Amino acid sequence: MNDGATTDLELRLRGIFADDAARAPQAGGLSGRVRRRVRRGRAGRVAGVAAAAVAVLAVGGALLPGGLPWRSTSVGTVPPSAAGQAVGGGGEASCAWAYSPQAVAEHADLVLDGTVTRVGPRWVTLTGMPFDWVDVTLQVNRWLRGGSADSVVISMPAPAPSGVWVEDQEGAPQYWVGTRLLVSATARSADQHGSAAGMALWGCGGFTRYYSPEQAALWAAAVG
Amino acid sequence: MDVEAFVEQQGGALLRLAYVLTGDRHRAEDLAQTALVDVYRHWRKVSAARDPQAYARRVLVNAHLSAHRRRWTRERPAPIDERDAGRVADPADAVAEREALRSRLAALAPRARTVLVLRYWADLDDAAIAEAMGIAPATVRATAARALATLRAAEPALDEGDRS
Repeated sequence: MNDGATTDLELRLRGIFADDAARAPQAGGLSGRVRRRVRRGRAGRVAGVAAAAVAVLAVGGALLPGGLPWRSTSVGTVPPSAAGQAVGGGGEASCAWAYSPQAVAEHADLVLDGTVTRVGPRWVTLTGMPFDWVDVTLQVNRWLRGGSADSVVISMPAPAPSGVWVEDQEGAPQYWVGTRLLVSATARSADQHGSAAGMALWGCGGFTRYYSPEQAALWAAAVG
Repeated sequence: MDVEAFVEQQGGALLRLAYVLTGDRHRAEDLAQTALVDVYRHWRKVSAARDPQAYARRVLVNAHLSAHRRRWTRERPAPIDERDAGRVADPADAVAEREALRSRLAALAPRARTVLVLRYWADLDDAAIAEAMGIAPATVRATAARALATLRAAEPALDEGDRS
């Protein structure tokens, strides 16, 4: 920054950045949305994030050593009426992006049609505390993006423990062994939820849905 | 100060920083939320830190750069507009010139653009930028110098004018 050209450039950069900052969205409600995300993490109320998926990059590997067995029944039945709906219900509001097949295509690094074959182990933090996420193994029926293996381990918000479908349930998502899902996920930073460095992917809320041929076709068309 | 007050106080600044970094209000909101959720979860450590604001900023910047690292295979930089050498000053030209510079900024590597944003918008010194990005101050200086050189090289006519 010791010549005239750079000084002029600096001034123009400052101007551009100041203009951008002036157009930034207002922070109104931000603290409330943050608190809700924190509460969901603490209490396992994962209504919106349920649709999100967190996939373990290391194929077949647990997120952290010492994962706990999941204590739910891990088995349940999703009614046909849920086909195509978001897993966990109205969670899109918690997400920065509104759901659409195009948004899936834009934001997801991993997209697949898969059937749950195993739920667990549950995540633990680096200090050994249980966390409300579990590793979920899916048999891949069709890869739309991001992989080619027959199965994949996705870390997801822990499912409702009962295995009994409840209409309009707010809280833990309802998926179990045998549930067929359309899953999308994106990488997450290493330290979220105390996860080990570089091991997990994170997906935006609302972007995983119960399988339906119609939704699968829309996703496939969008993802290309 | 408790965590609620911190989030209320710093949320707007973090959101603006995220928006200047990304130019996308959805990504900006997500980045700001990510940083503040991390602050909530680690408040004991954050509040004990020398500069809690710097901690939150670092989380945000890291999340931003991590997202870019994941997306690099899909995203393509915006095309760089070719400038006509010898154009005369004109208000319309000034707007076009600014937009051209904006395009060139968008074409920079995310880390380079982040350095420029932290230096020329957040007004951080090299040490603070280094802390926010988890790199050495010397790397900050080198990255900034290369980024500025890249931007200058794309507008030779202006450079000549500035230096005259």
